[in-house]
Amino acid sequence: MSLGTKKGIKRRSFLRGAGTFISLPVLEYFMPVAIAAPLPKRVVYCYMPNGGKWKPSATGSGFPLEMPLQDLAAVKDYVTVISGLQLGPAKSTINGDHSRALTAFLSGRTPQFPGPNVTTTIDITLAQTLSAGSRVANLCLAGEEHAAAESGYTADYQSCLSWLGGASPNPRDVDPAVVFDRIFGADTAADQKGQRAVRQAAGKSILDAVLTEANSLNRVIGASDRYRLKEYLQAVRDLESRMSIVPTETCPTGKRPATGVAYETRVKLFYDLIYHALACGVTNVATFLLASESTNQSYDFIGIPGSHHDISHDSSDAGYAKIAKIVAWHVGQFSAFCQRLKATPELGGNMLDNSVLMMGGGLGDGAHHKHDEIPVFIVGKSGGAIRGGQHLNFEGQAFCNLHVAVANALGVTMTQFGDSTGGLSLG
Amino acid sequence: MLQNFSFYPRTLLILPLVFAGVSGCNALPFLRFGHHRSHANAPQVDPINTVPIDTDGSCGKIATDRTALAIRPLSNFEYDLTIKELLSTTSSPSNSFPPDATGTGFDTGAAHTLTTGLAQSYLDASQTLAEAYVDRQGVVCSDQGFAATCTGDALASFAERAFRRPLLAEEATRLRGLPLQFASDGLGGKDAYSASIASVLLAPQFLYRSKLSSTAGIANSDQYALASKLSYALWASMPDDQLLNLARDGRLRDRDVLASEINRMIVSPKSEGFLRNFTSQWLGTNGLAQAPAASHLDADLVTSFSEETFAYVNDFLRQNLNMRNLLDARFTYVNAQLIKHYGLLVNSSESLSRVELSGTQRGGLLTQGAFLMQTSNPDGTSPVKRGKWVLDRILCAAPPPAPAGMQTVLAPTNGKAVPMRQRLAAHRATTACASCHKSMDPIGLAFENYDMAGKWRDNDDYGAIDASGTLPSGEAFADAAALAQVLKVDPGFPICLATKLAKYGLGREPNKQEQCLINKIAARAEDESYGLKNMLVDLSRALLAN
Repeated sequence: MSLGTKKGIKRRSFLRGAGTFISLPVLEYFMPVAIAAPLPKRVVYCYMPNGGKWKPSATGSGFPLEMPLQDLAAVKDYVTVISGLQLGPAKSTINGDHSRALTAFLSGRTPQFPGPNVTTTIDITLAQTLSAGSRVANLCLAGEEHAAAESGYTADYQSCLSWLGGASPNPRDVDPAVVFDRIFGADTAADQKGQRAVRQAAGKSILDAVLTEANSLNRVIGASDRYRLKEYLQAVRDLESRMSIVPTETCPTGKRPATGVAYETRVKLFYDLIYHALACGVTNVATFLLASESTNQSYDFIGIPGSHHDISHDSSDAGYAKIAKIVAWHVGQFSAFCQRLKATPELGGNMLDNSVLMMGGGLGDGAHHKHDEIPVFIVGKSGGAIRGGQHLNFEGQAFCNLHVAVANALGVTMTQFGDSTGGLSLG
Repeated sequence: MLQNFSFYPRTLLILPLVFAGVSGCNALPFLRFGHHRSHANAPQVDPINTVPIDTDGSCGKIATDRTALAIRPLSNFEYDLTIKELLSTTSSPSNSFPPDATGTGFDTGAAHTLTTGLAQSYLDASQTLAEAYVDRQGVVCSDQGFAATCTGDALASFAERAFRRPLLAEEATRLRGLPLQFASDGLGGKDAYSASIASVLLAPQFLYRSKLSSTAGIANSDQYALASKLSYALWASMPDDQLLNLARDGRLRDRDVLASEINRMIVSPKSEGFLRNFTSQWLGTNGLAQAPAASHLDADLVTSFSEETFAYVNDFLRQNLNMRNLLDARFTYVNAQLIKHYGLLVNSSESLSRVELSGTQRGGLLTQGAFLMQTSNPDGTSPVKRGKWVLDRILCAAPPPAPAGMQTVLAPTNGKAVPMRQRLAAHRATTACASCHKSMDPIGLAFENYDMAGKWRDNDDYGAIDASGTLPSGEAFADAAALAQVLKVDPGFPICLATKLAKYGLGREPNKQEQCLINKIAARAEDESYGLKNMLVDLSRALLAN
C-alpha cells in the first residue's frame, strides 16, 4: 500500500467522523485476495443522452423494477440501482448543459469553454490496468457520427464520451463493420489470398521501421513539435507490443456487419460486438455513447417519431412518458447484452460475476437540464466486491464517488476522481 | 475608403456575446443594414491583387502562430485526397478510420491524438494501399522486377513526394536500405517493397503536417512548410510540383509569386476538395442523412440535396460571384430527381446541371432542400429551427438554447386547426422567450411555403400561408424572397462567412489582428464585383503566409 493511499484513508476516516457515510477502505484493506483474483475484470460504460428518470420507489434488495427498468428482470440479482447522486461539474450558470453533462460524466470535471479541453476519463485510467495485457486497450463506440455544437462549446463535447485528456477526445468508432475489423482483424485482400501471415510479419517490420524513423526525426525537429512525436512513438510502441498478444479464448469471427444500417440495428450490433470483444479477451474496457447529447434521433421504430432532444423538452406528462419509453427501449437492449454475459460461463460462475456494466446519463431531468438525481445503474458483481440486487440511495453525494467505488471494486486502487469526496458502499 | 463603414465596431460585438453564453438575445445587435454599393462606384478588382489588405497598418502585426495545432495529423478528408494524389487511386481509406473531432468548428482544427487504435487503423490502411499500389505498378526495376537490391531508389523518390519535401541525408540512406532490411526479415522482394511503401505511409513525416515536414537540415525548410499550409488550406491535399519547386527556389514568400500561386490554386479544379469539405461543415450537409426528417425521405434525394448545395456554392467560386448573392441567386443545380421533387418546368437531365430559376418560387441557399429539410422535424416544418439555423450559419449569431425548464414543445391544439404562426405567437408572450424568438420566428415563418422536404406549398393544413414578417429592427418583408433581400445586405453575413473561411484555413480561431484583417476583407464584399474567389484569395494572402 502506498503512502498516498494511506493518506487517503486517513482523510476518509476524518470524513466519516464528520458524519459522512463512506466505507470504501474495506475493499482496499480487507479484500486483497479479490484484488489478486486471476480472472480478468471488465468494465463497460454506456451513456444515454437527453436525460431519463428511473429511481425505484423503494430501496434495498426488495426494490421493484418499474418502468422504464422492467426489462432488467432477467439479471436483477446483478443490478445495483444507485440514486440520489449529482453531477456537480456539469452544473453552471452558463448555457451548454448537454455538453457538460456528457463530458463530465466520465471525466468528473467541468469541460473548459469553448474547448476542447478536459481531463482524462475514468475508462482510460482503468484501461491502463484492466487492459494492460489485452490486444486492444479499449473500445470507444458511438451510435451517431455527427453532433451539433451547443452554445459555443465545441461539438466534441456532445459527441465524445471518452477523453484522453487535454484537447484530445478518444477517437470513436461509429461503424459496426469497422469495429468488427478492430476486434477480429481487418478483412483484407491479403486474407482472401491467404496471405494473413505475410501481412502480420510485414506489419511488425513496418512498425520497427517507423519507430526508427520517428526516433531519428526527434533529433532534428524543434522542441515544441516533440510532444506530437512522443505521442506517435507511444502509440506505435504500444501497438507493436499488443500485436503480439494472441487472445487466449478462441473467437468465433461470425459475419462482418454491413455498413450504413439503421440506428436500432446499429445499437444491437455494437452491443453484440462489445460482448464478443469481452468474451474473446480482446479488451476489458469499452465505452458506448448510444447517441450524441442533444441528439435528434427519431424513435419511430417504437412508435415515437420526432427529435429525441425536442421530446426531452416536452415537460408535460405526455412528454415524460415518451422519454420513459425511449429509455425503456435502451434498458431493454442493455439488458439483452447483460444476459449474454450472464449466459457465458466462466470458472464456476459467469462473465457478469467479474464485470461492471454501467448505464446512465448526465441529465436527471432533460426538460429542466438538471444534473441532480443522475440516472445510473450498474450490472455485475466484479468478483463479489459488489453485492448486486439492490437499490442504494446516496442522496446528494457526488456522482464521482461511484467512479471511485467501481474502480476499487475492479481492483484498481483509487482514492479520488474528479470531484469525488470518497467512495460508496456497493457491498 | 474601407474605413468608412460605420458598422465595424458593432459587428465585433456579435461573437463574444454569443460565445459567453448569454441567456437572452436582447444584447445581440444582429440584423443591421448595410448599404448596397452601386456598380458605378465599384473599383476594378485585379484578378491577381498584390496590394496588402491592411493598407494603413491599423490591424497591427499578426502574432506568430505558436499554437499546438500548428502540427497535427492529416484529417480524414485530407488523408483520402493525399492518398488519391500520391498513389493515383480512387479508394477512400478513411471510411474505416474513426471520424475526426471537430475542435473549434472544422475538422482542420481538430487535434486528434494518435492512439493505439488509430495507429492500427493507419497500419491496416497503409498495408492495403501499398499492396494495391505495388500490384498496379507491375515492376520497379526493368530487369529485376521487385528485387530488394534495386527498389531503394524508387522508394526514396516515393518518400520525397509523400513527405512533401526533400529527404534529409540520413532519411534517404535509411529508406534506400529499407527493402533490403525487410528482405532480411524474411519477406520476398515484392512483399518487401510493398512493406517499404507502407512504412512511408505510416511515417510521421507523412501523417503529420506541417512543421514535422519542415526540419532543420533542409534548405528553405520553412518554404516547404508554407507550400503544405497553402495546399492543405486550398486543396485539402498535398502540394504539387510547382509549389514544391518554388519552395525549393525560396521564392514562395515573394509577394507577387505568393499572390499568383494562391490565385492559381483557387482557380484549379483541385480547390473543389477544400470547398466541398468546408461547405459540408458550414452548411451542415455532412450530417444531412442524420437529420430528423431524413428518415422519411429517399436516401438518394437526401444525397441530391447535399450535391445541389455544393454545386451551387462551387459556382460562386468558379464564376467569382459575390457571396451576398448566395442568398438570392436565380439559379441552382438539379438532377432529374430534384427537378421532379421541386416541380421545376425545365428540361430534365439525369446528372446534376445548372438551371435558371427566374419565374419560379426558388432562388438562393435558403430555398434549397439541404437547408429546408435539415431544419425540419420528422412530422413537419420547424420555423424555430429554420430561424435559428439562419442566425447561426448565415450571421454567426446563434441564439442561446431555451432557458432550462421552459416548455419548448408547442401547446397542443386539441384537434383545433391553429395556424403555425398563431401557435408560435405564444413564444412572444413570455419575456424569457421573446428576446430570441422575436428574431427566430419571423425568419423561420418566412419559409413556411416550403414543406419539411423543401417542396413548395401555397397552403398548409390551416389554409393559405402568410410568410410575411417584421424583424426586431423594424424591417418588414412579404415572403422568403423579400427576407433574402434583407439578409443579403446585413454586414454580419460577409463577416460571418469570411471568419468561417479563415477558421477553416487556419485550423483555429483567428487572433485579434487576424480578425481585424478578416473584417476588412469582408467589407470588400459590399462591392458587387468583389466575388467569392476574390475573398478567398485575399483571406489566403492575408492569413496563410504568416
